[in-house]
Amino acid sequence: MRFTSILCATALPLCLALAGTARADSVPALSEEAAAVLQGAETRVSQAREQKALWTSTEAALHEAREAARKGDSAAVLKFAGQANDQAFLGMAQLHYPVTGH
Amino acid sequence: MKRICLVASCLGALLLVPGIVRASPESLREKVVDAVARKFPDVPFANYVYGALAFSPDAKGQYDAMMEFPPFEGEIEKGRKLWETPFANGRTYADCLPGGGRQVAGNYPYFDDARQKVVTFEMALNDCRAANGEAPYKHADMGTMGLLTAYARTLSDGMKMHIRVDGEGAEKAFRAGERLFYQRRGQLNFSCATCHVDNVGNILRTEYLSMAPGQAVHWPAFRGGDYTLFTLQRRYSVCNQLVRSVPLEIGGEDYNNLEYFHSYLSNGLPLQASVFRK
Repeated sequence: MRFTSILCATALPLCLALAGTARADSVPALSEEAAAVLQGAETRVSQAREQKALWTSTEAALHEAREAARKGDSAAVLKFAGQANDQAFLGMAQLHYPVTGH
Repeated sequence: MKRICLVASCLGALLLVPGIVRASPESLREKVVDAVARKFPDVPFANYVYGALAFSPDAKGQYDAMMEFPPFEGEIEKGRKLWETPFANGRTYADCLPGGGRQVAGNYPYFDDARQKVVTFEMALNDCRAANGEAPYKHADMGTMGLLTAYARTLSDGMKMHIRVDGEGAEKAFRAGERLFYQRRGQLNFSCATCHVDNVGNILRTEYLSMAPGQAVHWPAFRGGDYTLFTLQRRYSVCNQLVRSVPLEIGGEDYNNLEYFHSYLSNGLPLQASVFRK
């Protein structure tokens, strides 16, 4: 009985620690391409913000990309970071559109 | 002789290059007002202050009924208390503004040559606070600046909007505001003018689009539903969000210049603060 109690007292923390390690290991690493596209999007969005040319949809796309990165979903990172990058570029280009007719 | 003709031709050609010869503020304002008048000849100029309500007798009737006993009178009363409560040094806002703050709001915004920037009515109130040792209110805080202006601007009800553009600095600020008004923004790629000049009277998102002249005279407004208080620049912020553009800073230089230009378009129309809007 006493041996059983000692066994449970030592085994339980060990099992919990191993389970935690397993959970961390289950989040895949981002692909190099995804990481690079995300970094590029962060830079481009920051530029658009400085120029007061940021769209709300761009912010939302970058948020989705960051969330996907946290989950290790490279495909989603590529999709959303790509959108953020494109829209940040368009927002800055919009500053140079002709003004509407007047 | 040939040289004179050549020089004259070149000068003439320069006139055709956009930006070289610009319409004066007054001719620009008249052009915008005329554009609305041509499209809606039956809407009197004085009724531009009602905006979208001018296109719907039913909506205007509901507005008139609401304004007989406004449900947001309690909020205006809070603003009155903020206005009348003395600062720690015993002075009040009335001591800062000409005429005790009565019949002045129509002169704002104005361009301060000394500070080389546009000064809005809200900035003038904060200047008063600073001059009397009080911390400034945040422009985006409807619980302080919003309520204060909800009452303070009613002291100028009936005053005609009278914005002046005198001097190089004022002209520069006016043009910056003009550019922001006509510049496409956001994922939806709209400018302010897209809705409020080019599509006045059309319906977007179940509501008539109001005309730009007449818009700046009726703020703050209490919006339909829960009667949320909106200052004019808070409305700019929401409009930007609606076209999916990240809003600019309420009380910042860009919106101040925009308000300067936008208010100029309403010159000659009477102010009425703290009204209901859907």
